[in-house]
Amino acid sequence: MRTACLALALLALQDPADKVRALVEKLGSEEIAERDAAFRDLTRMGRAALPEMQRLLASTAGESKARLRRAVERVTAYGTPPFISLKAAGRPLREIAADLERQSGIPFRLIGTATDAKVSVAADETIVWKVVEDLCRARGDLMYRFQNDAIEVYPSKFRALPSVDREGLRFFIDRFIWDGAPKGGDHFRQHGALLTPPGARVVWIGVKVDEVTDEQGNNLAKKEEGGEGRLRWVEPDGFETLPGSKKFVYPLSFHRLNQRAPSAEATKIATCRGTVVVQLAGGERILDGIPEPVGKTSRPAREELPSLGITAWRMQEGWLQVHVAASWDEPSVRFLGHKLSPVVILRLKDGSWMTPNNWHSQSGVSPNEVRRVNNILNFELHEGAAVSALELVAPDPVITIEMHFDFRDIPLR
Amino acid sequence: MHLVAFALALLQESPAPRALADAVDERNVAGSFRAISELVDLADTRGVDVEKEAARLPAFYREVLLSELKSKRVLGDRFGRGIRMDLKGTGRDLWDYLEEIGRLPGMAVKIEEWNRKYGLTTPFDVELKDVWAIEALARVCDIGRHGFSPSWMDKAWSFNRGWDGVSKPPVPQPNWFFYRNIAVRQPYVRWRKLIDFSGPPKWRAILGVSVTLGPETPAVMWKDMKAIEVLGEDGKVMKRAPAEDTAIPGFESNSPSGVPGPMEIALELAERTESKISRLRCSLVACVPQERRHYVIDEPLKKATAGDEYFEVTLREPVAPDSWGNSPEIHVRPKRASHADLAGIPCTVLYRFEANSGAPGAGGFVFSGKGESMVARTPFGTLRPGARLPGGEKLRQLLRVEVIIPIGLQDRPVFVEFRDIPLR
Repeated sequence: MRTACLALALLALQDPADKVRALVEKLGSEEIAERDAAFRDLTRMGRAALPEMQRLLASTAGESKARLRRAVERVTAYGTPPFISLKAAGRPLREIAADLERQSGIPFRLIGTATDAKVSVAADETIVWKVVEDLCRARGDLMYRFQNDAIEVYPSKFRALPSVDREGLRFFIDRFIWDGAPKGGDHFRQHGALLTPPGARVVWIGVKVDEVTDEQGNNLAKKEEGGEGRLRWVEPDGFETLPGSKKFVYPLSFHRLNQRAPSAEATKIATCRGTVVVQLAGGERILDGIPEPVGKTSRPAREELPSLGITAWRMQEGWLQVHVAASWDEPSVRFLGHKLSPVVILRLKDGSWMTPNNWHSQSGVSPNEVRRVNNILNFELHEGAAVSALELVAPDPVITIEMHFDFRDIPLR
Repeated sequence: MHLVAFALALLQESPAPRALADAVDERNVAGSFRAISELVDLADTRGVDVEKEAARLPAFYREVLLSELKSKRVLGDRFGRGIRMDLKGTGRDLWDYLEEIGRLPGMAVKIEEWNRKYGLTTPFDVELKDVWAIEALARVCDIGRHGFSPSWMDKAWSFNRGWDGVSKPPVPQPNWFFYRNIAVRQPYVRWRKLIDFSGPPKWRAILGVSVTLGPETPAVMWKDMKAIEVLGEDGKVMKRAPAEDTAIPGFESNSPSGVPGPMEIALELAERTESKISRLRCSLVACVPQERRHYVIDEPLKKATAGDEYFEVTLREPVAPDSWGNSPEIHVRPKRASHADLAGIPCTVLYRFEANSGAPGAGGFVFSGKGESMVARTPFGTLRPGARLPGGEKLRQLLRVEVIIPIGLQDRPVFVEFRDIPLR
């Protein structure tokens, strides 16, 4: 027993790089279970393991290399999954929250009397959203909410929000709303959010709602006259989720005009069914780049596509303003599919990169179209930042996750 | 001796506080508020008697009277006159009626050429007897399908044509509440069914209250909406809807959530059925400035700062163009109050750009309360003559800026009462 404890303690103290090397070695194991376990453990280590994983890519070969590449892409895309292992009974929430914060990397804020509320938790490799939901549900007088920088727990009646989890991501519905004017013409709204591991590189989110049917059989998501029968809502996020980002919540909403409220006879929404599609960047492909862009007067765009050119630039009070001409066509970005588009990033010599504050999300490009962006882009440079390149990049590979939801029996009375 | 006799005669002629207090009657809203207005004016000479009578009034009207007495003391001329009038006419047009109303003190009207050119020309008949001047204004504007709003800059009413300004009278007359120089249109009701998974969903009826004050009382913002009493068709108190809960607060989405705003009253109902609110009593507070400070930067290239003991205003070229382009910044640094204390106060900005640039002549900003100074953006342009963006685009030159900041905000509570508001 003591030996086992010692071994565990040594394992815990092990240098992360050593652990990565050991796990990468196991990716080549002849045992499927061992390979899968190594892959899972590598991805669970998250971004902390990424530099060593990328270093080992060069010296690994064969199937191990392919598996390691997939693991690198996955960690790049998902970040560090916030899984929690914790067992506690009747402990103050402030102590539990400190544990949750440490394990998930997501800050927690406790409001009012929630701080001293006694809670019980039993979580074994459970995603943090579920842990928070379970402890609020068990109390009944606590609720959680997602601010853009923290999860807050506050005293309120618990609301059991319909949700679906997949691979560390959660989609939930916060509320359905019908807004009506005196003379009819109700508006249907559905508000929800996607939760991701902090800093997951989300490049596109799409939601389609196939059915919101009451028990009378009325599909409340279907247009009454003409048009397609599905609710669709799409909010592309561009390529803004930087490697160091802590972002974990993406609010989503759907709004349809002239959508009748459930009838007075309906007692429940029997089915709310649809799909959330999330696309994550497992890496990036450089379509064109300009090394050392600061210092040259200009660099014209290339004839062939895709291309990136600079017509003028200036530095002013910590801002780099660059007048860029970026172009691409469908063949040059076919790997992105029809929804995504490239973005201009500024690479710094310290290895980090940034997106401009005014790059607007571009829609996908159609087969015979050439997309041209001719704009002044602003990058806020911190003191001492040294620019190494300006690049036109696209997410590659794009990892797509489909989350099907089918919520049943939501009461209307 | 003559003076005493004159004073006694005056006392006998003006209505006694007792008689006016008796006229305050729960069954007659308009009559009650009129009596309160007269009590307020009478308090100038018989303050002690009026306050004594206040104690006899029903609680709501007592609160109104005492609040009005205080407001008149605090605001002085900005309290607004309670002028009443007769308005009678046959076959006269809207502008003719408005000009007659505009001759009354505190009721100046500003009728633009385009008002007359594009406004209603169909003549109509009016017969209004002993009404508030603002009521006469609202009634003729309703028939003429025009909106009216006070302009603090002109100290006058201005007008705009409604969406169907050419409708022929007679047109349905909306329900209003009037008191002195206050007009409140019957609250608009919107419905909302909310399923937030906290329990059985409920319908909410949301009432939006919007108050118009005469130009003598130049409100810059409103606050503290309070529903004092909301009774249903059965005379019972209607349940107020609790504040809505959300797991994603503070996020602006493409679809506004429609959550009741601070100037709305949300009621909770089991079903959406046709009924009515038999009585609505509410109050809200207008913020009325004691004065407005003007800061003029006439030649920004020579001197880009203007200031006094209250504020320092500086005009600067932007550090970086934002997504809207190059917009010079107006930095406003408060000296007496903290910026946080000014949060929410709206200010006016008048611009002069180079000729024929298509730039707007006026705009504004609202103090954010964040940081030491407010940084507002002017419309696209530059302070530098002939300046161009890195891409070569010419920028229009900003020649003059005038920032107008209201200061010394004082509260003007407004009480409103409606009967029989239909819920449908």
